[in-house]
Amino acid sequence: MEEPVFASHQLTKRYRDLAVDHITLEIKPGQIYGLVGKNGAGKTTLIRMITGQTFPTSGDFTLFGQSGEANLNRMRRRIGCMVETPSFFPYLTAHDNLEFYRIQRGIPGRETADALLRQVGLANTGRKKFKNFSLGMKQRLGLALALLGSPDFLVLDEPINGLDPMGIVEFRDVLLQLNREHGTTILISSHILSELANLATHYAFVDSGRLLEQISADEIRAKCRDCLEIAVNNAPQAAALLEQAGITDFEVLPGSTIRLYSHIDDPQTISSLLVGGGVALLSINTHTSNLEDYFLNLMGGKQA
Amino acid sequence: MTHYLFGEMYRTFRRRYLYLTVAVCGLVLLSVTSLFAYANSTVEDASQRMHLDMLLLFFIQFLPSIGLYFTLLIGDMTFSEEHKIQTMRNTIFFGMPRITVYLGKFVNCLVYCFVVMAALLAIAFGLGAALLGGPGAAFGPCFREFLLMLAGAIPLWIAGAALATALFCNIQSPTMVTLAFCGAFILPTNFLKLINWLVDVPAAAKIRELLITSRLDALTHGAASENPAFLFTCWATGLAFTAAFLILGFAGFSRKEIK
Repeated sequence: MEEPVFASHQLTKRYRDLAVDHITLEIKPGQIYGLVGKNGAGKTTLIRMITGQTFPTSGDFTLFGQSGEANLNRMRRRIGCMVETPSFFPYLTAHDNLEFYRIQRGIPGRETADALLRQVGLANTGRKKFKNFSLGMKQRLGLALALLGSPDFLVLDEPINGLDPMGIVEFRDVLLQLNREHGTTILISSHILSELANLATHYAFVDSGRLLEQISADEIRAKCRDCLEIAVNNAPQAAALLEQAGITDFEVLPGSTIRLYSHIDDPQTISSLLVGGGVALLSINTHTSNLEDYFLNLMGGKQA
Repeated sequence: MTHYLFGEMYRTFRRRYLYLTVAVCGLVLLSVTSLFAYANSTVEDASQRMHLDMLLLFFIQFLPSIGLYFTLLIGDMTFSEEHKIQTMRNTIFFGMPRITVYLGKFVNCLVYCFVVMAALLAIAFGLGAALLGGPGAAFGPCFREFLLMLAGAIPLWIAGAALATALFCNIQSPTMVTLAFCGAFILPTNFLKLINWLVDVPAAAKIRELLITSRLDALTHGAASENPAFLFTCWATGLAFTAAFLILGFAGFSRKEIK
């Protein structure tokens, strides 16, 4: 069996309140794991424990199958991180900042910093100091640092904040390329769910420190398929009429509502069929849903 | 550890702070030496003029205390506001053991103290030779006393560097670090002095003798030249305080949440 890159068991962190509440989670090699939750849901605290910035109150976790502080620190050398807004020394240039961390980490290759700056589109920043960088440039440099040392596991917390549309596309391409070509596992938290939907292969939804659901992108896609949502007075009779007409790709929801996953572009045929069979049609709408709707539903409505 | 130390040096030697510190201190030394040179120019009797010996006596008087508080400045340079600008996490992310980070900061602080102090002494002696005209008759004994003062002060300064490292690693605000550092050296001495003055408690006087500031004060009064065994007590005091500050500081830093 393939060893998980990250696995937690009842991981808990308490400040005044529970920030992370008994989370058991597993990330397998090659997955792009989207961590989704409201502000204060516990995403950053979970990431801080993975990166060693803080320690669990109870529970434990493994990185590449290893546990214990010394082993975790050893395994963290295989991780690239970018947590919240990247921080660097303001009086150093992009190159000098990366070179500093390259030397500090004992990573060979004097050309490494320049190659990474080219990869993230910061090759032409010259003598410009970090304090004069825009937020987008800071994010790019943060990604360059996360990529330093060719990590096997990338942990990214809100990495696309402040990036322009072009930057977001480039950022996504870099991550997808790393995932496809090098098998890099990625844990990414983001509020921009539409962007996360373009990347993630798996999701974990968290709220108030608790893990609500772990689900694959394929499963979400199946649950979020476009459909015709039909409200009728008699759902069993409507279902029977549909089956008689050879239409089987539908589900009956509570409240006499039917979700029909075929004939989306042909609602007239369906309404004629049902009305002709003696079923009163209360409403018929095309229903499209995405990751955002799924998240909102999971959170219990629009208050999320 | 070696990589960490080289990385820290790479950064510090690219920062203006180091060079500005040397330049500002150099200017202070230039002012002092110029003042001596001016005083010389007003004296007609050549035998009354001040030579390099005078500069050594000046150092013996003031360097022990200045050196102790200088470790705070160097500690600040070494730590580079890593909590405030939140760069410490970049090191922690990589799985650098906290003990390596902590001792790395301490060792770097010592290295910069040595480098800056050596540079300043070279500047001071260069200026002295240029403006005061080289050694006088008392240079030999003065230089011996200066070396004895240095031999006694170094372990006590190392303890200062240990306290600076402990405070900078645990406290985010440099202002609070400065207050804590100065308070740690100024308050106990004066508190014990007060107790001794109010009620004659021999133990208070004994404890006061063991403090770093009291040892440095004794060095300015020639305690090391009068009794070379005093150097041993300086080293014992310095190393004991160094160990205590480092252990207490790491106890806090090892569980500190890094933002």
